[in-house]
Amino acid sequence: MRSLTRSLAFLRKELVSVWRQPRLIATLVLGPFLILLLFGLGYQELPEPFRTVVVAEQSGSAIGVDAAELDEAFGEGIDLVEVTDDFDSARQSLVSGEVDLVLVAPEDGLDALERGEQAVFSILHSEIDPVMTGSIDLLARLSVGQINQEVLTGIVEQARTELSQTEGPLADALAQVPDVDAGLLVSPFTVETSSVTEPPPSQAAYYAPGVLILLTQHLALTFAALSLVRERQLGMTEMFRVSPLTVREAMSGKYLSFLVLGLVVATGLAFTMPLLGIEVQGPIWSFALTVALVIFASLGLGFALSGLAKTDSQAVQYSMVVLLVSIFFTGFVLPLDQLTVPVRWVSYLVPATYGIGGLQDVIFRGQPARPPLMGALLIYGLVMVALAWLAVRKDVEPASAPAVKVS
Amino acid sequence: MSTDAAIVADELTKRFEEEAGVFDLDLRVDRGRIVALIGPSGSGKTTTVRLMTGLLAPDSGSISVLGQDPTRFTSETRARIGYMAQDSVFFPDLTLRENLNFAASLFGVPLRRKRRVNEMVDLLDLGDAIDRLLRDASGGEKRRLSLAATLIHGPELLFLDEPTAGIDPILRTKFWDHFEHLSEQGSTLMVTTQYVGEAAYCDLVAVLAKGRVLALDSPDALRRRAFGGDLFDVVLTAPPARDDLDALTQAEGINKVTWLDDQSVRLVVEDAGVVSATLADWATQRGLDLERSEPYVPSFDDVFVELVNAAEDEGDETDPEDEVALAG
Repeated sequence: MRSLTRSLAFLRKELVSVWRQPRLIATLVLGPFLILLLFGLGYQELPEPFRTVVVAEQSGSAIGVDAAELDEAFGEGIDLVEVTDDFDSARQSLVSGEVDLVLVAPEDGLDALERGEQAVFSILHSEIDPVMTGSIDLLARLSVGQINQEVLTGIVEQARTELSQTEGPLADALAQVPDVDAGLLVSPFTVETSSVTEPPPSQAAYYAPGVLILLTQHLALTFAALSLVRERQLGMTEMFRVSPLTVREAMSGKYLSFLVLGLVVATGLAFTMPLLGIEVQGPIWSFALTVALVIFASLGLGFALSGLAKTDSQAVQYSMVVLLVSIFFTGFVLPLDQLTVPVRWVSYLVPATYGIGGLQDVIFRGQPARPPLMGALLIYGLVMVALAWLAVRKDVEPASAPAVKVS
Repeated sequence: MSTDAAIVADELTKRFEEEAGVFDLDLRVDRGRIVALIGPSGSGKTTTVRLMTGLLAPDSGSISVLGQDPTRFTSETRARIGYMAQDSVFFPDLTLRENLNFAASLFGVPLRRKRRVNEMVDLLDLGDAIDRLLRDASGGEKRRLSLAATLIHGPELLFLDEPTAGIDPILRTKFWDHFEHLSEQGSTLMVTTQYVGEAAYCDLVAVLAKGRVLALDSPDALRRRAFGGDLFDVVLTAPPARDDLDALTQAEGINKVTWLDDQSVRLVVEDAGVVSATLADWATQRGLDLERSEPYVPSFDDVFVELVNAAEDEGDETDPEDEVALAG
């Protein structure tokens, strides 16, 4: 009973301490809600269309593709700002940032064909973001493919009309061909993709579990690390060492208090999801279990890190390093498969790696989180309990007290 | 009152760099007694308390507190001990009441403790401040909270490191009255203080300097030791002659005679209780009239200064090059 009293003292103390710090609540508790909400509401599925200047003969290019057709071929990917035959002026607009792309149509398309060469559409841009550069490249290839298809369709239609007005073996052969659309004739195959996960998540929705897990992990880790460091800085550890408090009682009280706090925040974040149009398709218990295990593992990591930190600011720095590692190595931004195997081990050192995968299972795949992920989180958490034990032991057991000079 | 020992230290040594620490400390404190550790800053008072509470492990020597080695205290033993650190340390975002309840829980006081908490609030005059956040409390209020937290679980052995620092004289007297009450109830107290006068409240006083015990005795015995006997003041109706005082110095039971002014002298005597007859004989023989003669009780500040000076002189004599520099 006394043991329980001591553990509950920490529960009450931690919760009241947090409650009494409105700025901390605003930063660490309300902040995550707003971040998730802002992310969901502000994220655009598609980038803004590229502001584009087309450089072409005003009467249309030599192969018969005019600016209007180019606009149609590039679809919603571009915003046609101007058509000009002045390349230098268009380039200047690009350099000054007034436009994003300069699309130069080939002037000598027919000549190139007669020479047995491809006519080249040149696209000039000033993008430095590799993702956006890739988008421009993809947009260009798809659009030129579309243009090629339209050109070929026109040629086939024209040939078919001209042959139908002649007689001879070629006309007879044409009569044998089914009357199919010219467009189909030049592009007989297409592709369709579908996912067993229905409906597939939007891009904003896809990132939501990652955001939830990262914020929860960061919150739990920071609270845990700061809690021990602050007690040390205040000098409370001296009272702990002299009191009957045991490491088990101190740890259970702290784990319990921050688990409660973390679950309150995570529940709040979960309620933010419907606002973003995200529906949890899997079992709620698995959702709760995943979040609880992430908090459990993160608390252990926070307590363990507190053993290395001497001040508040050091503890915060450590937690920021873990957050950075989490952003790049947990599958939040880049798929884990794109990391080489030795580097991928870094991913397995962060609870979010398992939590993001687990929550994606529950939210999008409509199934409980994969047992290996949950098992890994549990083992991770237990290993961290052992490391945290060593950190807390220093603060609670007199025998391990450092020999400091006192008067 | 039980007479078995609550604390026994034998050649206890804890050495820090630059010759700081505690050296060869021998001490025995019986249960139900109040022992004071007095000495200047850096004399080793806090180190001694930290050794006794298990916060520090000794380099050599042995120590037994409530029959156990402090570095191996069981939880049960720790629950019988109260420790008030020199600095008031609690949680600034909690009220004084919440902090007190936290300390009570830490020492296993059951949750139905309202009455006990109120007793502490009354005792330490914390009524107005008890629901104030600690960060808004004054230094004195924090000190009183610290003492309340030390007493809340009714420990049988108390280590109080400068409990009255920063406390006003009225409350300080109240504290000491309570310490004496606790002692009468059977609690043992080890108190460090820089208010040397507070030593008079104690059963045993250890005077420390540079990590060593200069003297360890009851307050009365220390007074005698400091001045070489009891002090006795004599006032005459007329100034005595030099011969008169020489005769007094030769009288039995009188160790030393010091002029206070031309009609007054202070005597260091073997026993203040029997010196009156000697004085009467001396006055009659020398034809002098005694206006007044009475024992003089020096303040403990004076006792402390005498003891420390004596230790310094002793140090000078034993090793002239080794100057004893005592910090304020």
